[in-house]
Amino acid sequence: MAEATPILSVQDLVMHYTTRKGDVSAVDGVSFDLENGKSLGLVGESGCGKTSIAFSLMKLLPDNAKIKGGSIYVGGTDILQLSHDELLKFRWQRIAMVFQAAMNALNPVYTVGDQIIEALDLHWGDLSREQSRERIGQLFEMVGLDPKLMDRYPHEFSGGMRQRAVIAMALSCNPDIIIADEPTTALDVIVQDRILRELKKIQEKLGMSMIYISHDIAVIAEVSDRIGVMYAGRMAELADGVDIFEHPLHPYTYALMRAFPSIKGEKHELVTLPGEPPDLLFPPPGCRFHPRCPRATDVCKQEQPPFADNGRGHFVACWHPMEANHE
Amino acid sequence: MGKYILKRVGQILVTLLIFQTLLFVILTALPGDVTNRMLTNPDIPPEVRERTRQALGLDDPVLIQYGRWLGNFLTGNLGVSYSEYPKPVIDILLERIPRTVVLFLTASIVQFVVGFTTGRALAWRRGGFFEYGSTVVGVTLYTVFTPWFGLMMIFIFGARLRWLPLGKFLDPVIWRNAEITGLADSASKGNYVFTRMLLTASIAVVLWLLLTIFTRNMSTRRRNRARLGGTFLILATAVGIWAASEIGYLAWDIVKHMILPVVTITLVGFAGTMLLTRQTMLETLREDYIQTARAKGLPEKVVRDKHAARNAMLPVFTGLIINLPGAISGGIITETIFSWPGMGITLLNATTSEDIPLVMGTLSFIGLLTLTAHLVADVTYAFLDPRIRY
Repeated sequence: MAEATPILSVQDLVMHYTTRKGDVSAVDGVSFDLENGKSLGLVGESGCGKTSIAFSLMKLLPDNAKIKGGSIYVGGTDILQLSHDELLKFRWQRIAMVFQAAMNALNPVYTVGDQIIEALDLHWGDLSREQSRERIGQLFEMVGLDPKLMDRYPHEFSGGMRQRAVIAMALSCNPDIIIADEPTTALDVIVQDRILRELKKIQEKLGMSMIYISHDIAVIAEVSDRIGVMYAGRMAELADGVDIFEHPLHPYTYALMRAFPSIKGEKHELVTLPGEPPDLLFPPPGCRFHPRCPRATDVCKQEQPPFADNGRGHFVACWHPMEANHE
Repeated sequence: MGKYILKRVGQILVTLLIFQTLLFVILTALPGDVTNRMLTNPDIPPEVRERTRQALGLDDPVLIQYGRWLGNFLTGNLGVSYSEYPKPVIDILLERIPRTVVLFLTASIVQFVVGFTTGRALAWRRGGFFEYGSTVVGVTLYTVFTPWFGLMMIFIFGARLRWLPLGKFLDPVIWRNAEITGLADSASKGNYVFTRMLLTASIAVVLWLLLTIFTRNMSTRRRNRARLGGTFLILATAVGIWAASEIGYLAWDIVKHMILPVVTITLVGFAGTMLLTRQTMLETLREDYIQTARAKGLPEKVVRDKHAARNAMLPVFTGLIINLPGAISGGIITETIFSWPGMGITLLNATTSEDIPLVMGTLSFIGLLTLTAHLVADVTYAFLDPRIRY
C-alpha cells in the first residue's frame, strides 16, 4: 500500500480544548496518511472532531485549543514544529482550505478578486497586478466562473458562485493539499453535486491531494479514494472507499450506512442509531462507542481497542469487528 | 449615485424649509418684540416706538413677515445683529462657523481615532490590565461632569503648568504686533491666518484623496508603500510651508489654543466609541472571513486591521456621524468654558441679549450643517460599505 511517501502523515494527534469545566478531548490519538494526488474523506457526526482535525492541519486553532501530542508531517516537515513566520508561509501555499460556511468566507467589503490577489501577493510576492489578474482569470475559468466577475463584491454572487470563488481562492497558490470542510452544505443538492464533481475533476487534473470533510457519507463516497470514519474524537475505521462500503467492519460505520438511503437503489429500512455521541468533557472509558454499540462486551468498557490493519489497508478500532463478508 | 445625491439635496431643501418655518414660528411666538426695550426708557415717547416698529416691518401681518424673511434667507440676507450693531449677521456667522466646525471636526476625528484604536486593541487582547484599566478610565471620564472637567484641565495645564493658553482663539499680545500687510486689528489678522490654514488643510485632503485613487491599482505592497510615503510627503510639505512662512508662528498660536479643548472633548467622549468598537470588533472576529484571512497566512496585524477592523468600523462610523451635528450645536458648554469664539458661544450671547436676527441666523446654519453632515455621511457610507448602493 505505502510505496510512495505520503504527502500528509498524521500520527497520534491529540488535541484538547480547555474550557472552564475542564479539558474537552476533541481529537484523541488520530493517525492517517494521505498519498500524493489522492483524496481522503472524513465522515462522522457533528462534534466528532472532523473540523478540529482540519484546523489542526493548518494550525488554525482557537486560543483555548492545545495540541497535546502527535505529529503532522506535510511533505516531510512536521508543521507542529514550525515557527509562527514559517507557519504563515506554509498556510495556503502547502495546505489551503475551502470553508464550511462558504457563504460568509469572503470579506464583504473587498472585491472577490482583491481577496485572491491578497493571497497571491503574500505567497507569490513578485507578481505584477496584471499577472495576478491573469492568474485569477484562469482560476475563475477553471472553477466555472466568468473572469469578468473578479471585480464584483461577494454580495453580488449567488451561493454557488461564492462557493466556486472560494474554491478558486483555495487553488490560487497551487497548494499540495486542499481541505474541503463541508464544502457544499449550504447549497441545494443539484449545485452541490455539480460543484463536487468539478472539484474532483480539478483535483485530478492538477494532481493535488484532497481532504473532504462531511457528515454525509454518501457525498464523501463519490469523491474520496479513502474514507475515514470518525467517532467522538477517534478514528473508528479507515479504508478504501469501496471497501468501507462493501465491508464495513466497525459497528458504527455499519450503523452510519444504514442511516442513509442507498444511492444504488437497494431498498433497506433506514435505521437510526439510538443515543448521542458522548460528552467529550467526560469521555467513556475503553471504546468511546461502547454505550451505543449493540456488540459491546466488558472488554469494550475497559480497554481502548487498537487501531489495527485488518489487511489490505483496512484499519479498524474495534474489539468485535463485523465479519468482513457481512451481508 | 449622482441621481441619489440630487434626490437627497431636494429632500434637504424641503427639510430646511420646514425647519426654517418652525424656527420662524417659535421666535415670532415669543411675547413682544425688540422695541419692548424702549418701554423701560422714559425718554422715548410711544410714537418713536411705533415708528421703529413700522420701520422694521414689525407691524405687518405675520405671513408677510414670514415671506419677507424667507426671501431674505434665500438671498443670504440675514439682517443686522442688534448686539453687535451694525455688523451683518452673515458676516458674524461666516467668521465663526469655520472656527466651530474646525474645532469640533478635529475633536470628533481625534476622539474617533483614539476610541477606535483602543476599542480595537481591547477586542484583540481580551482580559488583563489593559482592558480593565482603559475601560475604568474611559467610563469614568465619560460620566464625569464636563464643565468641571474642562475647568480642571484649564486649571492644571493652563494655570498651574502654564503649558497651554487658558482659552480664547488667539493670544492678542502676539497678534497685536504681527505684521500682515493691509490688516490692522487682530481679529481680521486672525481670520486671514485661519482662512489660509483651512485652505492648506483642504488642499492636503484633496491631494490625499487623489493619492488614494491613483494608488488603487497597484499591488498590495507597492500601494501600502506609496500611500504611506505620499501621506508623509503631503503632511511634511504642509507643515514645512507653514514653518517657513512669516505667519507660521501665528498659526502655531491658533493650534496651541485648540489643543486643550480638543483633548478635553476627546477624553470626555472617547469611551463611547471605544466600547462600541470593542463590541462590533468582537462580533466581527467571529466571522468566517476572519478565519479565511488567517488560513491564507496573513499576519495577525493584517487580519486585525484590514479584515476585522475594517468591517467593525462601519457601525462605529455611523455613530460618529450621528453625533457630529450634536457636537457642533452642543458645543455651547465647551465653547463657553474655553471662551472659544464659535457658534455655541454666539448662540448663547445672542439669546441672552435678545439678538433675534443673530439667534435665527445661528440656528438656521446649525440646521443647514446638520443636514449637510447627514448627506456627507450617506455618501461616505456608500464608499465604506460596497453593499450599500443608492
